[in-house]
Amino acid sequence: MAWVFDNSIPIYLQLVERIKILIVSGALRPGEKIDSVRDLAQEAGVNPNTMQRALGELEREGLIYPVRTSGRFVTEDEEHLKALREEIATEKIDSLFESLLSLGYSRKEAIKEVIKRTQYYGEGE
Amino acid sequence: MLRKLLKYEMKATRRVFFALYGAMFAAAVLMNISMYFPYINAFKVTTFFVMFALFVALAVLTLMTIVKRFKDNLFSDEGYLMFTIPVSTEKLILSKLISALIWTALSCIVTLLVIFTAFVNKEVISGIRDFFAYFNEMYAQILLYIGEIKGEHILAVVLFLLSIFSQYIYSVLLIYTSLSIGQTAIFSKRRGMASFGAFIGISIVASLLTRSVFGNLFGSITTFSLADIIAFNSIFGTAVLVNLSLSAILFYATNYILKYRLNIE
Amino acid sequence: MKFINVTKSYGAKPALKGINLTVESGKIIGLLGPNGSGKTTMLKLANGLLNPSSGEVLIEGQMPGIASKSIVSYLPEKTYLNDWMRVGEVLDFFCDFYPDFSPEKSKEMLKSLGIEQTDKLKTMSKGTKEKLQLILVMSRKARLYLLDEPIGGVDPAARDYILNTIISNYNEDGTVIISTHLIQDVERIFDDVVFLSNGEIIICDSVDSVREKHNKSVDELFREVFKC
Repeated sequence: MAWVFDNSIPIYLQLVERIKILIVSGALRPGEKIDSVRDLAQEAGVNPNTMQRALGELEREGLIYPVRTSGRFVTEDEEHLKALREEIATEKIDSLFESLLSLGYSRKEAIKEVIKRTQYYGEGE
Repeated sequence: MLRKLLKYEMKATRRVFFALYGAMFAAAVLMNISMYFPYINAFKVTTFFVMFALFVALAVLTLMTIVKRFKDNLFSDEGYLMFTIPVSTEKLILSKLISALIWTALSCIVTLLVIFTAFVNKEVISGIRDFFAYFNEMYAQILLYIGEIKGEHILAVVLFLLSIFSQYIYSVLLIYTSLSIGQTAIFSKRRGMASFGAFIGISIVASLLTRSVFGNLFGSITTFSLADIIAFNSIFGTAVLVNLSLSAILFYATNYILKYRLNIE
Repeated sequence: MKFINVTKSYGAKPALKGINLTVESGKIIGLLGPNGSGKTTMLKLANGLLNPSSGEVLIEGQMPGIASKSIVSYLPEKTYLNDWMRVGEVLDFFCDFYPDFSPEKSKEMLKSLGIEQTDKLKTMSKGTKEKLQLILVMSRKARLYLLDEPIGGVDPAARDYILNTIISNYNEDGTVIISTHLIQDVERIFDDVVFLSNGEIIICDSVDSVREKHNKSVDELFREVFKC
């Protein structure tokens, strides 16, 4: 029911990451109204103040915008969303490589392994 | 707020009392019927003992209610609710006291009615009729004895009833104070002992006080006659005053403990 | 709520040794500490169920009394409801004594739990009684909620229910203080945490700042601080 959180990172930062992924993945569509702080807090099982802080952070980053009296909406700035999506993808790939290197692969071998695996997924549909 | 407290106080206690009252009337009816069968001895004896047991039960229930409604409702887990509702401690004590008085009064009335029910038959009814028929005659007899009925005589009756009433209030408050003192004990196992000790201690002090008041005021009166209406009134008037003063002291002592020395487990 | 240099001892045994604490409104605060650290004593003092041996406890600037009791909603560890009552009568009782109690709200919550107005308390399980008490306490629009071990002995599913009830029902201008020794899964609902050890406050900080400073969750920090 409640979201699962990592222990060492402040909860509001984890909320920010979660909601970012919901937005870039399209689970929350551009221009869509998002739930109230209270509802979101209840869904995540967190303190409403913490959720408020996370939404504030997202607002600051321009991913959501408040409309007086009617609530908050997901940004319709497609460029921004695309950039964010790439940014997150880059982060994921970086961490993938980091973990491969920590297994003892050299950079070259690591790339090879990744390419080998991409064949499993097919090269484009 | 006091009315609301009283409402729940009566609700909490009424079941047992009404059940017992019902049983008493039922036993009284049976006892009355048994009188018509003088040859079935077992029936008569059984109903008599049942009746007797029920009277004892009523007395015990009244006492238990006074103790338990105070002790359990305030000093056990229920106290966590009673002391966190926005109601003054004075009203908490008063609600318990008033409901105790109401049940006692009701029990007295029920006792009279039950006795009447148990024994009523043609002779008793005619006896009562006679009593009222001869009432005027008796009244004349009384007048002959005391002269004429004056304000003092009415006052005497009122003071006599008040002295019983105030003595009862004092006794109930004595129980409340003792229980309150008992709950301040740090070790919960000693609470019962502490309450009992407080009860004995306060009783002794109160009786010494009463004795010294009466000794100082009425030490010179050696003989006492019912006809001496002035002496009667001053003695009973003093008794009422002493009882009420002691009751006031106990009430405020209890209130102080509930307010500042509360120590629920 | 404010504690100024508060001490409390039971006989010769000190339970609280000089507590200073100011709680801002609009926050959810975790009062954490092992058993016997003084959590319950603090909450009882704030309710006027106990009086401090020295120092002062203030609720909105006043000593605990009739005025403070009408704005404080307290959930003790004990089951304090009268056994002779039915659920409906308990609701009437709360209606009669607390002006800020909303019977509609509690009826709605009771319905979702399948508790009927005609249910007798005598036949209820301990767990159901605890949930009923929580519903009663959270159906008030109080300024201060004091919840003593609300998730004490309940199963994980009930724990989620209880935490959700707290989050979705507390009055937003109000403050919530939750005492507990089970921190995991609960810390995400706190703004601030107060660590209590042997009657003294040893840490008083926000949850996010604990995570930033120590790089660990409040639960991990708790296990470290109170390591046996």
